Amino acid sequence: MQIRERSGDLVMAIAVLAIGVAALVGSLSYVYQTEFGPDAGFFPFWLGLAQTAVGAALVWTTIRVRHEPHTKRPIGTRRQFGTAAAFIVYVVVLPLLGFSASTFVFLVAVLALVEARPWLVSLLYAAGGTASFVMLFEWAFRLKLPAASIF
Amino acid sequence: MESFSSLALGFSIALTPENLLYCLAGTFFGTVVGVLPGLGPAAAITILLPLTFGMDPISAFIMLGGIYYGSQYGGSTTAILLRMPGESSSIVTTFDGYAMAKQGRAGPALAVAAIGSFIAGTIAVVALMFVGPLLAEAALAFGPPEYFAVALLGLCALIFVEGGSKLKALASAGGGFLLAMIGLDPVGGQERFIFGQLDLLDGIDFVVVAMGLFAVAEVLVSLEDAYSAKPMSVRLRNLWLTWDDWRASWKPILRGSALGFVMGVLPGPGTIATFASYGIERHLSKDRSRFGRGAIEGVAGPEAANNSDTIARFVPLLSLGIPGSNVTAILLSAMILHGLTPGPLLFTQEPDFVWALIASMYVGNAMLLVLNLPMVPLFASLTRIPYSFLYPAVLVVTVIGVYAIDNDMYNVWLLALFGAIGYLMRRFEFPAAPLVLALVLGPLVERSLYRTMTINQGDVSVIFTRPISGTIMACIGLVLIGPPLLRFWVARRSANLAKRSVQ
Repeated sequence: MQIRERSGDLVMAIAVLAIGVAALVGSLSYVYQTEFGPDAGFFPFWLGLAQTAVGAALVWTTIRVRHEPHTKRPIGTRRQFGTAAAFIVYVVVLPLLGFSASTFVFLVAVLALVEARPWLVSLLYAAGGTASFVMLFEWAFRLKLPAASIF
Repeated sequence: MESFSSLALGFSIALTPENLLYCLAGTFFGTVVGVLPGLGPAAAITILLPLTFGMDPISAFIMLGGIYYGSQYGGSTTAILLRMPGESSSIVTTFDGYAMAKQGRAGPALAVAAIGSFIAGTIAVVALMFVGPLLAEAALAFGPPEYFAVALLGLCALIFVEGGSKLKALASAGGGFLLAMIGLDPVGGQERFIFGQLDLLDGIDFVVVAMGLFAVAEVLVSLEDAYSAKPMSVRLRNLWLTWDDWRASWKPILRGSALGFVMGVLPGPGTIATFASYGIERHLSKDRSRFGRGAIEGVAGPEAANNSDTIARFVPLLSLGIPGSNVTAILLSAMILHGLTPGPLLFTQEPDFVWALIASMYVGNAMLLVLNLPMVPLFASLTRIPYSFLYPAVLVVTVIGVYAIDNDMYNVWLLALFGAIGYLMRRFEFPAAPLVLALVLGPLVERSLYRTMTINQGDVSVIFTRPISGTIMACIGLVLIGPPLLRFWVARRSANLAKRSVQ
């Protein structure tokens, strides 16, 4: 996917503005001040206002400032998308399959599919890596790793 | 004298076999982190932080501190051998370090970087030993207005001193403050912005955000470049300085040490000290044309400034409880997670912790010198490991790290979310450091402001009228108007010079 630099900047600026407005509106549902001093709504209100102003300034400068002829830069390479997708799947299946199985699958997927390494190398790396993580973190450091919920 | 007896106490703790091992592990791992591009000290410390939960806080911080200053040593190795700065603070080292390496003088460049770092690190620890307690004592007089002002100064320095869009840095800091609002409000305990999610009642864990923004996003960004490097081979016998090298380097090392310490005590990005040191050395040189072509002073000064700056960052952290950079912000959170209360009382309430940490810095600096010189070929060979084998492991370790905080998958999902946000921020040049710092300082800023207003019947002018907070606010004003004024002056001077040369 390729997007124009300026469009991306504008989307980010609008996102900042939207966050500011949301915080400002959200802060109105909290008490601003009591007789003893400021309350829960005080800081979020001023912060929301400031963030809205910064967001508006960002939108304004993005629209107003003359850009060089639009250069197209990729917002994500195949490698990035592949890794990001594998990572999201990993995070989703982690509580279902547990740490060992999902980590093994994740490492194989990244190495074999994203990095196009030979399958045997990927399988050996994934098996060795998963075993090392379990030994180091669960056995040596005594950390609890996610357990499987479907087995 | 009191400092020396406290230091003796610190050494008695830092020199136990267990703590020596943690110090060695920290400095070694830090050097590896510095050598490997795509994994900075901020990410490394956040990744390892959950592993320290079961450890004694002193041992944990000896290790984490070792990672921090060890990474600065490691960063210079790749900067000199590959023209690839492992850390942003090593960018300057590439100018003359790589030029020296190309001339077959990689050994002296690495040696002066290691020795300069050792000398500067040691000088900075001595200075920390004296300045830290003094500052902590002065800070005992701090009230809410002063804490508010100091926190604001730290944030402003990070936003306005570094290059790049100030608006984007402000937006990033605003985002951090807004994230800090999630959970219970720090004064009345009322729930805010939790959107019905009970998991958000305790707020968003700082470690999760830092790992997402620094580790996951860093991995995603680094995948844009096909990273491969062939390091030069360095023979151990080449790693020595000639008499001429020593003569050219000792003054830059001392100047860099002093400059780095001053810059490190002040909040702001660490790269400034190295660039400033390079500029000074170039200015003082009789033959400026040598700079960029392999001048050893161009390596000695900035490397010394870099390490001195790193150690000096512990001064505001330990004495005021105020982080001046993203790494010290992580260390501050780590202290809180370990049940310590950073701030002026730390020196009196936790002397074992503070002085053992300071003593471990002497030990760690010596370890780094011993580690770095003979092991340079080994560290350089680490860059031969294909990145495709490294980054999946880094991602798995981040998942283990955030899961270990509460044994809760919620944090893992937030990690993925902040990884994506961090990637977009990096891609569109929104700096992550102000967000992280604002997230850490958010509760302190809010609490200090509330207390100031409550004590003074809603009047905030006391922040400007009290001597200490007023001075700090004046410093903030200087930080805000200083850089534009300097730019204006430089532009005017250049225009005048151009006019004169035309005439």
